[in-house]
Amino acid sequence: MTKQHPLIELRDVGKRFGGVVALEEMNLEIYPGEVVGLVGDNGAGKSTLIKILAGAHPHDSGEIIFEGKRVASLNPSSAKVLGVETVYQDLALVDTLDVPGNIFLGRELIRFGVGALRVLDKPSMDERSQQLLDRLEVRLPHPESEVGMLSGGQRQSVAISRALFTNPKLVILDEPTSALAVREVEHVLALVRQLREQHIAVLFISHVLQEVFAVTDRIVVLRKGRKVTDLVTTETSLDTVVGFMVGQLDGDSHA
Amino acid sequence: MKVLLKGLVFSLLGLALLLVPLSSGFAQGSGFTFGLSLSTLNNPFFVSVQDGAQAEADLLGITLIVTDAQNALDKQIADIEDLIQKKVDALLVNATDSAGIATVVKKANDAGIPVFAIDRAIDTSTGASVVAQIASDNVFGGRLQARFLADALGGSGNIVELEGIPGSSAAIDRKAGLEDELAKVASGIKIIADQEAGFDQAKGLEVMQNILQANPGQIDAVVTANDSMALGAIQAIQQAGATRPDGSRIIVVGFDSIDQALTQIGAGNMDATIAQQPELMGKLGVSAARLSAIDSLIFSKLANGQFFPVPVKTVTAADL
Amino acid sequence: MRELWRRWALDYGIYVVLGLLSLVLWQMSPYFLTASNLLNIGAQISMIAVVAIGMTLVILMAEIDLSVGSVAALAGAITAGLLHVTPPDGLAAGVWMVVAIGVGLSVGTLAGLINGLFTVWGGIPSFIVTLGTLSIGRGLVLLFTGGRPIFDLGQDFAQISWGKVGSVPVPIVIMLSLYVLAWLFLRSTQMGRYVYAVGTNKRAVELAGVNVRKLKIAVFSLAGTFSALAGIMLTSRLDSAQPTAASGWELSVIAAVVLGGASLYGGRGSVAKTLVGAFILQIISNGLNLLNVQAYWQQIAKGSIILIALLIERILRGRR
Repeated sequence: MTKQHPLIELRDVGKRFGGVVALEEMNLEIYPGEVVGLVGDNGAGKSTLIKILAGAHPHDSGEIIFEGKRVASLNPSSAKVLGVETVYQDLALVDTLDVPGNIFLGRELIRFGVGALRVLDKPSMDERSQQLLDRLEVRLPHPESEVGMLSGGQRQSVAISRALFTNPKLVILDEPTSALAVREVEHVLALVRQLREQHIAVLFISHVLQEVFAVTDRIVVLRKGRKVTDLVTTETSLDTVVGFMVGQLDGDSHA
Repeated sequence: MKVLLKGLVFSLLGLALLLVPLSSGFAQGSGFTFGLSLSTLNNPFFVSVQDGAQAEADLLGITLIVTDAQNALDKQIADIEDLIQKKVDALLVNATDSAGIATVVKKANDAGIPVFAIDRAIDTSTGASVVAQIASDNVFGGRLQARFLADALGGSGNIVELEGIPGSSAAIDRKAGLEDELAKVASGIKIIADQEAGFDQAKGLEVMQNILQANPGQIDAVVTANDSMALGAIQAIQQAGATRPDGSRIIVVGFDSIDQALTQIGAGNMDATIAQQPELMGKLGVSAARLSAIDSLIFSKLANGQFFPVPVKTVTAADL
Repeated sequence: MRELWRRWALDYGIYVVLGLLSLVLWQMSPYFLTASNLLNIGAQISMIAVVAIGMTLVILMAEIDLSVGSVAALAGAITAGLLHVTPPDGLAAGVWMVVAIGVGLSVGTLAGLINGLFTVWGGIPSFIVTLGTLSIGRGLVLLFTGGRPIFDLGQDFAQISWGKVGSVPVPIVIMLSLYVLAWLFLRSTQMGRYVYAVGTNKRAVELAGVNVRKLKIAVFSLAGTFSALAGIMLTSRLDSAQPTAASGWELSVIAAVVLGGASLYGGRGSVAKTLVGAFILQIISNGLNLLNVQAYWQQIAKGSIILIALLIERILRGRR
């Protein structure tokens, strides 16, 4: 990998909730187009880290630097503007809407009208969402059906497709395979590889280490709110990572 | 001489014994507190009952605590329990449900508070006791309606009956009086439709519309258990342009004598209503309660749970 | 295949129920399927149906509004009260009537706004909030009317409920126009889509950057406006504003919405089917009136039909 500037950089970021330290001295870099795996036991601080990156929680200390520029504060909207999209574990899909309805949620295409009476431009939304799905090679037999009727894997594809709508630079996937059957897991991993191919960085959080090894370039291990180590995937092993996760091995954080 | 003197002393003593409680009571004319638990203040009838009761209470220097159960039995139970807690000297109860109220009335009995039933009966079969029931003679009112109809229809014809809230004593009594008297004095009058309309104008309108649909051109008269339903029926009749088989206006007889009904009678759209005297009812209630509070023992023996009918009368255009 | 049947039954089942019921009633009474009876039914449901539009929107968002009856009564009472006030100099009576109606509608919108604010900003479940406004609203009606009906509202005002467009009663025209507008709103506008989405997954909609709070408050306010309109229609129909007006509407309206397939958990429902639900409930009453069935049976029939319909819907929906 050529030495580039990191897409996003966390320097000494910390976060506490009341008396509990969720993150401490967090230093992390994510480079454009790379897939970074984020692993750690429950309570290690993974979800706090995601939420800070997504702008859902403000950080208490440290700096967030995006494309070389320091970001003073983040909220969900400004995070999206910067190019960070998050797909949460529960997918945040509206089951009673169809695929275009979900993809365009909050940013519907309007044919005409103002205020409360904005008439939807459904044909355009159908077309655009189909294009998006095609771009990701996602095949859905009936995109007009309610998203609630789709399988777990299909729903995951829709959620990820939705995240790509804004042409983000970083997509955060929070446990994307946790509720899926084996066959569907493969589809999601294929999607992640697609994203990398399209030079979109991915932060991939998972408990299933085999998947992390299958698809990531680097692996970051968190433990008790701190980054324990930062490894290149091809240069390490599953046992090593587990060792770091449970505290058997002690690491220094990578600069 | 000694015997005479002894006799005099004893009779005087006896009289004094009788009079002392009475007189202390009379001296105590002011200072009583009564509770008046009404089923609802939504209804102008009961508003008038309250007015009459309040006026009498003011006259006699009695404090009157009025509660409104908003037609809910459980609220009324709570209201009465509150009044029992406040240790009122007498309780006037206008029951939302004649049977359901019995338990809490029994509580009042146990607390030594004399209870009077206002307008609606209170079920005494399960151990509750009332000193007296003060109500319009609803049964008699029903009979008056029947007699008016018999007169107006010449003894025969088809009529529609609109009943009140099922289970309420007013609805039951008026219906009973009406149908019993009709059978006696006008066997040629047939009730071809008999539906309940909840004492409500909107429901009366709707139900009458439907009945008119099902019995086109066959109705001679409508008799209703209260004026609100009659007003609804009149609207239905007017809107449908319905008439009696011979083309004349359908006869409408109501009950309650509310202002709007009198207006309709004066305007020639309605024929008769039965006037209760709710203010008089309230007044009598307070008076009776006062006598009872002064000497409940004597008064309850005299009253003995009886029905004190408050007079009703027919009101027609001739009376306006 | 079975899946297809299931889906079809869920989507269209209620129309089949309506058809069957109509057939049965037509068989039992020749008066049922006449134009005048059907128009009557249409006018009879028009008020509840109008409220049901607002209620459908609220229930779609996984909220509830129990205050609809009180708001309707309050709007009707205030409009009636204003109609009795002499308009300021120079203002035609017709214009004043429009002003009175406008004020009535605004009162409803305000009530809905209060419901929305307390639910959204106060974080109190809408069930509780609207239970409160139900009580307060009814109290305000009593206060405003002094417990007595306000009568004589003028011929022009009566046109709202008694006028006709061609041979179709005005209330039916109002009802159908509003239903068409609501249908278009829900299926074709952004806000309509959000109403469904919020009831299905509020968090997802918030994450998408939509101001869900504003949306909910707006819908509650709109529901209040619909209630007010229905209340004014009722007042016109009875030519009076009554303290007890619209009591119990909340139950009938919710029954219509739920019968129409809406889920009380939000996200599922349609105004078209709500209208069918309202219609089904009314033709049951209508049929029972036409057939002169006793009052107690009517209650039992209505309740049973609702329960059975809901049970069937639950079975069809399966483990969801």
